[in-house]
Amino acid sequence: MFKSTMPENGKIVHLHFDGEAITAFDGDNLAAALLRAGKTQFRTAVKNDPRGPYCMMGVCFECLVEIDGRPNQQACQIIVRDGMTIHRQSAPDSAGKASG
Amino acid sequence: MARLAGTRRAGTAATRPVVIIGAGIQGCATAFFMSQRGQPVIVLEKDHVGRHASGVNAGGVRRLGRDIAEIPLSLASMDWWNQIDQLLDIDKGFHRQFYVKVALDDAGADLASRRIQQLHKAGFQHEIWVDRDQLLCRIPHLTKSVLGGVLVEGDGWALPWKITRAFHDKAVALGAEFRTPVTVTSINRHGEHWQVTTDAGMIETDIVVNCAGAWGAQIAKMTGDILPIEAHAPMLVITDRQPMFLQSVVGVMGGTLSFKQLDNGSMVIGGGKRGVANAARNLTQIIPAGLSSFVMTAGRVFPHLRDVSILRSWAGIEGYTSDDLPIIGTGSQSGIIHGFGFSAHGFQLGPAVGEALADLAMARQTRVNLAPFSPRRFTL
Amino acid sequence: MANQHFQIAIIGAGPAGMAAALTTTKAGLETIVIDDQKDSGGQVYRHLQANRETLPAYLGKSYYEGAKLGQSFADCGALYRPDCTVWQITDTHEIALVSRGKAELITADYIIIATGAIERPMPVRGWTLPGVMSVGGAQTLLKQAALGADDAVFVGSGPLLYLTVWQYIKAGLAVRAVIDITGAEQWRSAIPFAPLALLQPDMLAMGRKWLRDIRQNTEVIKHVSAVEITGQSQAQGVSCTLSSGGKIDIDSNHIFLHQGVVPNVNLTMATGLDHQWDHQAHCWRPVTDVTGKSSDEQIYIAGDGGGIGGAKAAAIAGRLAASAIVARCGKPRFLTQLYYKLRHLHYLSIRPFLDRLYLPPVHFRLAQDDDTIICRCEAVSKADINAALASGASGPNQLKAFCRAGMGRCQGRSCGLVVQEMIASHTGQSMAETGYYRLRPPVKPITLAELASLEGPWPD
Repeated sequence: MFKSTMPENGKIVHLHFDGEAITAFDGDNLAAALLRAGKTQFRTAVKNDPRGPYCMMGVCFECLVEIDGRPNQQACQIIVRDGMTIHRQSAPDSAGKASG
Repeated sequence: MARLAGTRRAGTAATRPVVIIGAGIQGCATAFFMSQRGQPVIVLEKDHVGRHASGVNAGGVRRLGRDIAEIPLSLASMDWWNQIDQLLDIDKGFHRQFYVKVALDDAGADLASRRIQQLHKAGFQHEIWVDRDQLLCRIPHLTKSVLGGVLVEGDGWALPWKITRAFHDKAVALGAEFRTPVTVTSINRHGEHWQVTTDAGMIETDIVVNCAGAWGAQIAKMTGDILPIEAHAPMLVITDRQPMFLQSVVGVMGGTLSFKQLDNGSMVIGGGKRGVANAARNLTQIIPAGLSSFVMTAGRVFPHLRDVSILRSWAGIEGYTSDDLPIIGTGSQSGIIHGFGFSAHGFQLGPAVGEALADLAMARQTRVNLAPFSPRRFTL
Repeated sequence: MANQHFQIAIIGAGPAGMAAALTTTKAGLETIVIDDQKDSGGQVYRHLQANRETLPAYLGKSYYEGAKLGQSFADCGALYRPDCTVWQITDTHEIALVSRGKAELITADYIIIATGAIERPMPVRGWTLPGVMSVGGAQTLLKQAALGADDAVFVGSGPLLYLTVWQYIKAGLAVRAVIDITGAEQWRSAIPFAPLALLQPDMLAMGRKWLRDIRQNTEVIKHVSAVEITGQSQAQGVSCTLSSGGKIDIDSNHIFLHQGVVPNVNLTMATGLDHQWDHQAHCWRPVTDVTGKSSDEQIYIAGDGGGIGGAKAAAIAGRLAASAIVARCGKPRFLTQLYYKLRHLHYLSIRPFLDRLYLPPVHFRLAQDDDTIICRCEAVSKADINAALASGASGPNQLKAFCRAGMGRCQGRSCGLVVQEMIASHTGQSMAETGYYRLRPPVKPITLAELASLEGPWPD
């Protein structure tokens, strides 16, 4: 579990993650907020691989979630907003390996 | 310059390998047909098989929208596409469905009507008009403001690199020899024969087939033929995977959009908008404004795709003639055959062109009349 | 809409970009600074302005040393555009960017690319499982969100790893173990360059302090020949094989991996700039002259994006490139440039030692198990790549067509170096000869609507 290393204060904001109510702090990084809430899997990639945030700097594209209906949002690049509705996303059925 | 080992063969000219320059689809298909007929060939490629236009084009396999002069060749080629799996020992080589150019406005509908009339007058029935309701039934995600479209049943798409590679693989299995990377530096008459000099030695042959694509004019010049082409780089993008919603290929009447969805859900969108080509350095540049423009057109056709991500853009180097028709035929000197300048619509023609070039090289009658593509039209 | 035009466009607001902006604005040149994060500081000074309020001490002195630069940057008068992602630079020096769903084109006379570094991939079995992150990712969580994992296992080597473990310890987190892959071979190759490193005694002292505190506060496991992460739907633990043959299994839900940082070359390569293989640092870097000028006369590279040097070297490199540009705009800066160059060299004096000491052993640079995922985006395994190589793929770009490695969203950032080394190892060619993926715009994915927004609003 991730836990806070500084006293937690700040305005509470409310999010929903796959239908579950989660609290975060105003100004929180979304990926961080989800990790603090104990969520390490953010999506399913090709071949049904479970994935979660990895680099926290926007270069690995693992932390993709659907936010308020928009897919492929990098959670580590987003600041929470009160009322945000987040869903894990799944890769559409893939043909597997080679494109041909 | 030392001769490459094994190029001097005892016997007649028929046993001397034919030299094919260029391992794009035209060169590989020619090598395939000739090898199938027992004729030894050596294919010289300056980069690697399918490196340029043949490996990176939009993959449309269509009779739709062709210049009337090209239609017989396109129809003949489609016979090969319809048996491509058996021909090349591959799976699912040709995704056959239909290809439609939609009319988004009155001007488009007008163009469509005149086009179909023109084709019917010339005796071709393959393009038909489908109205809005029929179209929306077949492609539910099309914009509701579509007026109808011109459609060809049985057209479709293929993966260009896969097919080009498959022609290569089968040709090799049948005895063709490919030498890459080898760059041709000069071609000179030597008595009754031709000497093809490269950066890896010289080959003597009786027949040279020029399938050098955007570099075809350079090669032609080496044989004494001035056949001007320009190199341009039409841009394409590929998107991330989406749930499957499209099996056919979609274009726009009066435009150059091409839109398809691959088996893994990615979409390949081409627009005919040109980037910058530097054929001498194998470089192409993407122009943001042009990219934006054809993506907008894609949006007019499939507005539900607004949030789909573009993962990559690219542009292949294509050779364009001044009349947008390819150059296919014998050169001014005996033993030279040209097959290049396909002006960004050569992929579907590849199988029939390969067959035709093989016919020319082996002094056989071609199935299709190649007069419209004669190199002579560029010489006085 | 007319394009905005600037004399200088700086891409990246880390130490190099910020320092460059101070020089160009002081010289009176119209400067825009474009950065994809919401606050300045890049990676090394992430969230620094906000942390100055709460001052978490565990982040360490060298982190807070960046505060002055950040403050000066905020006051310098450059047009600062945060939350903007550059997706292309054309050869006519148009910069295509996207911000909040809208694309724009900006032009500049000169461009400084200061996009920093990324971590070298560390492909071990199980590394894609939820709960596994890069050490840089763990450190960012600490800086940005004051979040840390208890009982985490750190695996790898390099200053960033040791610093982060040290910060974890200072923050009161219980670190389960550190698996250090640095071996005798690394020490042997680095020791001859130790005298140069002595030119930066404060850096060495800092490193020694980190290592000492780590040794005293957690289990350090060395002489490891292989590591794998276990678990089905999330990380459950690490299993390491010792060189002596034994095995150690550690339970943990949080595994942090790191084996060095490399220049982030995606923008510079997609822009068509010349690059060279840096044999010492075992990575690609743009070809530049002494001031940072690239193979394009109008484009300069500064900071870790041009070659790893750390925060202080990055700031000086920013000053250096900016001074060279200022000189070309008619305000000669010869002595200043010389001063910056000498300081830059000074800050780089420790690199030959560090680059060699922390170059990961080849069996960690390459994956060891056939089912290890190499291309994360497309879930292409080591076995898949070997099959493609056996089918005749002879280079990274051909390989893409055979097995899709490198065709995903990250454009090779997580797999490129591994794939390159697998190919080199298979063909016997050098790393330089093998080459890298041909990178194209967009440098980061953009949506159809974002791209089309250059033309107008998306159709209904």
